[in-house]
Amino acid sequence: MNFTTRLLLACVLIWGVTSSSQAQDGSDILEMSLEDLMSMEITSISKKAEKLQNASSSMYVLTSEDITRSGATTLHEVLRNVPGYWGVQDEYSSVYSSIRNSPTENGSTGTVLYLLDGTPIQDLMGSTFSFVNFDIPMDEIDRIEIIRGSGGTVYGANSATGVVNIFTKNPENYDGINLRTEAAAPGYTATSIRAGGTISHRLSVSGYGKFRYFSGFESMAGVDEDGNRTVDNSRFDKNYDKSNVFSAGLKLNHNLNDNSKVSGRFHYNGLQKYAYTNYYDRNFAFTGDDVLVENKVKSNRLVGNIRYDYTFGDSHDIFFRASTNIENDFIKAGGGYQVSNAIYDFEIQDNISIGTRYDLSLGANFRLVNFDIHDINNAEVINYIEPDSRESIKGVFVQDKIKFFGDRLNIILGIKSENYSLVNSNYYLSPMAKLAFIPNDNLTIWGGYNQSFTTPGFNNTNIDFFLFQTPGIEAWTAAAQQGVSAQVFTQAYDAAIAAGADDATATAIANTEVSNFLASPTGQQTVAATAQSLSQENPNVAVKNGSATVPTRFQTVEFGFRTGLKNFVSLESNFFYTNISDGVRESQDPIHLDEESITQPGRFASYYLYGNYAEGTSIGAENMIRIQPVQGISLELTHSWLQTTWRWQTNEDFDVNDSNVVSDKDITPDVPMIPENVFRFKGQFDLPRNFNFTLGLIHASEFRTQANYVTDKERYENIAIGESNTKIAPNSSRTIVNLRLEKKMINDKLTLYAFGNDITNRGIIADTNNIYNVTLSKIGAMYGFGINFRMK
Amino acid sequence: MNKKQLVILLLAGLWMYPSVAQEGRFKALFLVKFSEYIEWPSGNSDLTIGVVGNTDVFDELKRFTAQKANLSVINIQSASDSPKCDIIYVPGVKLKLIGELVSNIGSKSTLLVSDDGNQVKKGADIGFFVDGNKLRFILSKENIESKKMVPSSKLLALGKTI
Repeated sequence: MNFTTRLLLACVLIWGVTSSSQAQDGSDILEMSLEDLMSMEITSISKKAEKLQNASSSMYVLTSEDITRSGATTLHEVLRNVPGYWGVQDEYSSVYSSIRNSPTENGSTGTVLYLLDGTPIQDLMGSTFSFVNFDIPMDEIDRIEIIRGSGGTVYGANSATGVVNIFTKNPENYDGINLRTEAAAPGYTATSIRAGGTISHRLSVSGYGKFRYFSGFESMAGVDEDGNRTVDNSRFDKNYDKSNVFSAGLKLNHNLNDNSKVSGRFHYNGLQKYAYTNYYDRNFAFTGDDVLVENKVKSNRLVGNIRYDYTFGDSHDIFFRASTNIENDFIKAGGGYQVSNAIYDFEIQDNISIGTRYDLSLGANFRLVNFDIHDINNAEVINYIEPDSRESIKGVFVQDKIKFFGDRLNIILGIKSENYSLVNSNYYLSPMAKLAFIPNDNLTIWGGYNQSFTTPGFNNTNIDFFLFQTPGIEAWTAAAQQGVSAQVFTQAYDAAIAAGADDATATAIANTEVSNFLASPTGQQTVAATAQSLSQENPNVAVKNGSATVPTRFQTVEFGFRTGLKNFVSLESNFFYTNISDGVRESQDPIHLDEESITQPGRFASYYLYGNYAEGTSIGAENMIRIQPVQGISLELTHSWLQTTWRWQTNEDFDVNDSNVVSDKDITPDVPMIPENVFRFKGQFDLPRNFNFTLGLIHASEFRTQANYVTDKERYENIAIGESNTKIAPNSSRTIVNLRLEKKMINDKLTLYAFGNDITNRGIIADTNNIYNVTLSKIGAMYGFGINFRMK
Repeated sequence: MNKKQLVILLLAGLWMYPSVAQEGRFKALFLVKFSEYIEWPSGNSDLTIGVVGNTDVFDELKRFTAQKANLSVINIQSASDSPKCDIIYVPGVKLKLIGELVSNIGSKSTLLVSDDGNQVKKGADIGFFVDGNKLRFILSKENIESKKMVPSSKLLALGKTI
């Protein structure tokens, strides 16, 4: 079929869709042959210390040695060794992650609380953690304690399914002066200096500085997933995977007297990189082209806290902490915009032991939350009701650990009440009841129930995001005139030819027919009606929040045991069942049609709503066996299983029983966002001559990555309308292999090491979040070496 | 930009835009064509197309079947409805029903069409896939013929067979 025939067939299709005056119903199309049909182009749519052994939680601790020997160059690479954690990179340091919760769609779940030296470091836009805007020397970390499951009474908001608590090295116990530099292919180098120690019996201080450079795994500008060139002159002429990150820290402890001390922890990091963003302007319907924006990103983060501890004696202590997390970050959604958000957190906690039976903790916190969204690249596309506003989180808790039989049986009861002014004026109660039975030093059996909440982020309460912008009526009229003209021309031309006219005569007749028809009242009405029909059938499509978004509730029952068999084998198993209600997601289709924009008076759109529309359950387990057959060899095999199912929840915004609104009540993704099964093996081997070797293996079952990509336009498809596309990054399982060999010399002062991370990865597109990304990034293997020199 | 360029752009745009939401229409058209290029043992004079769930394919088929005397379309919600249908279309969101449908259909002359070409290996008779910007289909001659339906040589030639 030649171009003209295809064009005419297209006009027939358009005519059938758009022309009310002719009440076409597709009979012409039905006459098309299967061959003709196959030649038509289409577009597809789409916080007091506790023995770990006795803890009544599913906890996993990464020690400083674990972290160093992992070969990890980023926090994500460290955490991916933790059973129950899963993170997906969309570039080297940009990650969305989860613990015990697989969401209905791409993106962090907002249910895992990240803390750095006790300061919450959440991104306030979505209650998530921004990995990309974070760096710290990996050897500065003393340990990371990961709670799988709710942080419960003490941690509160946004710790519904996990807590990642990062503790950096204490200046009092610092490891001297260390100079470290490492490099890897492709294009990675990091250099850090750390120093610290006791200055006097009252004062200890430490500090660090680090620079990290990364130039990207492999540019995908102009090429497809397999590296084949698809676009001759790619519009991406900057290396969007290249980044420079600077970080610095200062810590101090000052013992005021035997009973009290003041400590301070300050971390700063700055990021420089290019980021491409895009948006769809009003011409998109005609041109199919997005508007590309090249952004020079300068993000930074300051995390700091000052803490005052006072000890009344062995059985009573109290602390007060003031902390802050100030983030200046660039968000890539909707063309991109800058956020300068901050939290200022004030908390007090009193721990008192009453006799030998009761350990009582009381606490309160007041958190000021500042949102400042500015430098929006296109406010017609994305905006917020109150882009510069101040909110607060207020919370109080009480928790009692009741001990029986000399700590062989303990029961923890607690409750926290919290209010987040961004959401509403209600106080949400998070009760907790846990029990740990420790019959002997080698066995702990524990279980419990808790309720926890995840507060919606700013994106869940304030956003007005135009996914598709309709052209103005003038543009539709011009388009309608062209379409009508073509149709009239074809009919007149065919009639003339049938009547015996030659091509020139038929063309002249057809042109005259077109002029006459367009000049006639019928023609003008047809054009106007067609334009009106096009405009009405293709309205602005936008997304905003539903009527009243409330925190998502998680009710979890969990139990587990940990045991040591002999002295060299330990086993641990944890099981959980979580009921989730008021989960936040968008409606299946636009719900509010032809509704005025909440940020742009006079503009109307068909609105997808974003609210408490999902409920579900998560069930899973974490199992671990750790063997130390001989001194110097440690083997750890773990398995984590997670299955989250989702369905539409009855809500005030739409009827979930209306099949016209909800096609299927089950909204569990066919392929989970977080893999159901992840097996991990870690082997640490101390070898002769001061060598040591570490092997890490991770195998994850299939998880979702697939997306629709418009190859020739070098962008993801427009999610509101769907377009001609190519499926990329097919869903698959994933295997990660990490190796590291280390040699210590000169009384351990000099350490040389070589590492290979993710060595079986030949280059994959790991994540395809089309809200935040324009084009593709690959991640792959990294091979490197490093040197650490401890001067003192 | 001269007038000719503008006209070409507008025509190209006009062609492109209304087509963007038309995947469902094309799939519906293919389903109609399958009813013409396959012979059922009891003849093709009265065929019922069942669409699982509510999709735009169902809406489009309603319009098309209104003009085809031998075709009707119904909406089905579960595999137990398969005996009512001669052709069953399973959209992407309902692919987990494929196994149940294959089992329920057994050797009955019901053509099972999936939104996903990969499902043909799991018992579907025909599956759609996108090649470049064009809708294609993959079919299993063996599956179809085992249910006593006869695919035309043209259908076999145009589709990718396994």
